Amino acid sequence: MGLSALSSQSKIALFILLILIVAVIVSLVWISRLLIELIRTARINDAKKEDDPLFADVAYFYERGNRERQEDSLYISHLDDYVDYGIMACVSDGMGGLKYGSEISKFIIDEIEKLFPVNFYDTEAMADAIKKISHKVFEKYSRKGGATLVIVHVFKDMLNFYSVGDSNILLIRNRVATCLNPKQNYSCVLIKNLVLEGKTTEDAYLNKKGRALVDFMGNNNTRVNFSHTPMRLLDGDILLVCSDGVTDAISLNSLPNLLGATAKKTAENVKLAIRMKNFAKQDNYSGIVIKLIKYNF
Amino acid sequence: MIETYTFSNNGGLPEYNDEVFVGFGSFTVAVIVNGMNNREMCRRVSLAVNRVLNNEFENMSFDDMTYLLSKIVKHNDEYAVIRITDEEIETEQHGGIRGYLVKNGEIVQITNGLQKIDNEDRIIFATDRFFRYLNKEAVLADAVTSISAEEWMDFMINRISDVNMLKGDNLSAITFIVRNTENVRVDP
Repeated sequence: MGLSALSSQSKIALFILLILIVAVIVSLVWISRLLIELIRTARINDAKKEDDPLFADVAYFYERGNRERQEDSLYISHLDDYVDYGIMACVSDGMGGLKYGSEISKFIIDEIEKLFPVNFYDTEAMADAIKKISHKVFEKYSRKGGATLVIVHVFKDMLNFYSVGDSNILLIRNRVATCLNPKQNYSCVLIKNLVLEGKTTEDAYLNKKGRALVDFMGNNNTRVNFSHTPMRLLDGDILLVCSDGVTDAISLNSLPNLLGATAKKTAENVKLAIRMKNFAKQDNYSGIVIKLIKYNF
Repeated sequence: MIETYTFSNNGGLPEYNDEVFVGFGSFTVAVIVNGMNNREMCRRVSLAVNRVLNNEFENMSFDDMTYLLSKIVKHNDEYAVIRITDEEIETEQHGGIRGYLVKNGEIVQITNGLQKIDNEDRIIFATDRFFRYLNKEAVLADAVTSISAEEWMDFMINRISDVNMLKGDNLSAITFIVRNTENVRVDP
């Protein structure tokens, strides 16, 4: 039966049916394209979130404690440079008991400031530059004074760090504080020797000279400990770069209890917690708090 | 080349019951046995490992090696076998012995099987008693800061010592650093 055999009403009905079928197909194609576009946009947004750099919320405290002089010095690079060069934060602690402690720590920090901006990915060059600063101190003060130095350099979501002596670079992640840098004190030498003899290590902690520095800024041919590969940082990580006056007063285990919503609040909490202890021989205590946050724009 | 450093310490106890074995050839083979709770098991596994390492292990595949061991060890024995070259690591871990790979500034736990590795990657295997005093961030920080497999171990031992003065537990671990031959610097 041909099309001509159909009544005109049937032809119209068939025509409408065909139009409806085409409309449904076009709608389905359009809806599926829309869905694909939505999924693609969501994926791009997710990827962007992962690529978004961590932003740094920074604060510091700088306290004399019960010492006559403030021998700590600090440097925080300009936050305007954050996108291009990241942020660098340093603490130098002048060695107590030796002359020129404050003068030397200030000299070191001034020299570090001159280095910025540094190439984030060339940590060996930065370590060499720190070594040269130490040599300048050595030539100027002939080991009549010295200082420790700790530096963190955060760029995007990566961390490099540098350390000479026994100041601290602490990472607080998931409410657990971890000291990242190895210490250069005599107890480490004693521990190594005791381990080689197959002994336990309590003697290393009983030794009165255990806390004496075996390396420091101002020593001859200083060894700079540094990260040879950057460490990845995570959203919510907190870095505390500080002198040993902080960690002598507050244990690593109790530090997470002092975290505030912002870097400023955390810095205040740490400062007040140490002040409240009111130790008669409280050393200078200074620190820089960096809270890493990922904003979802 | 695979730079290797092993650490075995009785932790102030009269006996050291773990075992750490290393065999060097065109690839490196290491075996760690946790014998703290089962000295008899440790002796049995040690015997088997010695047999493997003395039996031209260079000509053995990893599967042959683990098969030979599986004939001697029991299901719940705690040990790990590691076969490592400049390009890949193959492991079989049983019980409370685990490994971590430090790569590109991150640390990940190593699972059984074959995994690709690259120059300067750092790897640690140790008993659970060794890792009890360390968190992943500490292991990672020490890995990226150290200049050798020995120094990496020293940094971690310092941390453990700060907690327990190396008293109370046998401690066993092995660290590896992948050093591609062209990157090995020989001082004149």
